[in-house]
Amino acid sequence: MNPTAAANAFFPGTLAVAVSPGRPYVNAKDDVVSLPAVTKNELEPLLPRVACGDASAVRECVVRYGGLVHSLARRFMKNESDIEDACQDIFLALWKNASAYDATVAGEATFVAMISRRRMIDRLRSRREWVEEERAPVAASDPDALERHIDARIAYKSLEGCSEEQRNVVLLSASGYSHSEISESMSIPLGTVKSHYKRAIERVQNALLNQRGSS
Amino acid sequence: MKYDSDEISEAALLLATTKSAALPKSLEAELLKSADEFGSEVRFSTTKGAAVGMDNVIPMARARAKTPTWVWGAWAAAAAVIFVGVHSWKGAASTQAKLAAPVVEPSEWKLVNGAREAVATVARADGARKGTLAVLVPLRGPSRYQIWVSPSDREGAVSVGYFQCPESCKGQSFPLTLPIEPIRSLWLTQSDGVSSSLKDELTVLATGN
Repeated sequence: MNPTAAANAFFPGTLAVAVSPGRPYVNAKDDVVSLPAVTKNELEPLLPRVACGDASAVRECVVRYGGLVHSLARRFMKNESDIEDACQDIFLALWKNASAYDATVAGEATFVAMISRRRMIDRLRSRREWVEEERAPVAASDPDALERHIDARIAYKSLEGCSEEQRNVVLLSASGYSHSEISESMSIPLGTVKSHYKRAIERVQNALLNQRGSS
Repeated sequence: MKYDSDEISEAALLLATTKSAALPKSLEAELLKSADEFGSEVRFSTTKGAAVGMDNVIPMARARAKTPTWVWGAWAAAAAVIFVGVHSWKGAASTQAKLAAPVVEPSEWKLVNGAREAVATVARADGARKGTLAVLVPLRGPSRYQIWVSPSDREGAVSVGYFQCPESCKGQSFPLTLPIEPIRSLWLTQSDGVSSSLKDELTVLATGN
């Protein structure tokens, strides 16, 4: 799918969270924000225990984050065999780098998503050929993800103040596209992509920092 | 591993736009098998408390196979020179020399607080080591006690166990797996959750030597 078309399909002029019936709705035009109150993820982090050599925590990681890692891998790859290999690769990287997790910087699920994204991009780029169909498409927000992961909610909500083009750029970048690829697909100069990215990512960073500072 | 706020922000956005589905059972079984293998092979780093996978360890057989013959010759020559040197030195200093006593680990370490009260002990028993709590205060909520040991100073401390103490845990024992010998220093800390390194901000309740 053309990434720009994909992005526009999900942001047709407004920032709309895909909501289930009865769930509040967000519309950037009206600047109405009525997401449910932010709640802390009550689950105790596993990675510090993994870093301490707790074998049971290593298993719990699979149970807790297996679905997320698999879903993330599916966004980058289509072949089921490749996805399974990638999941093994991601979990190994996660366990080995467990001591790098810092709860004051990000939620654990965000750290898992970061490791997953990094490993997937590395795997795809190492092939020297990134098949179009295998690229991570820009997707609509997932209501469950927004409700379960505070970082996800804060980050996504912070895009409300961005222009449509800025949002598309940063979401495409989050999905694994390089700036030059975004420039090509959106038919805008590379410098513009970079400035859009900078503005949008700063908003997200500030929102996450504020949230961390207040919690 | 390093990461910056750009990467964290993008990961949060990726998370926001990813619908998490259930993991297929067959893949879950494979991942759990890998988890068991990793868990059984995990080793403590003696510096930062990080878990290190066995694939970071170079098997000796492989290392030997790659060693050229001339290297062994060089090692043998170096060993001969060292032997002669040490022999000469021992001869010169024979009247003064005394064999250093081997390092003997104590059978018990006491962890004392600032008021010099023993709040916990770590003792060797039946070849293993176990801890016995003395007068620890019960902890509420997510707070945990954590035991650290080091062959040297605080920089080299590794976590060897953590435990909750919701009620009185006086006199209770808990198993410890100590990856370091000999142990020079011990710490008892309290924090909300489990830490992977003995950071400065951790509250040290008691220390032992």
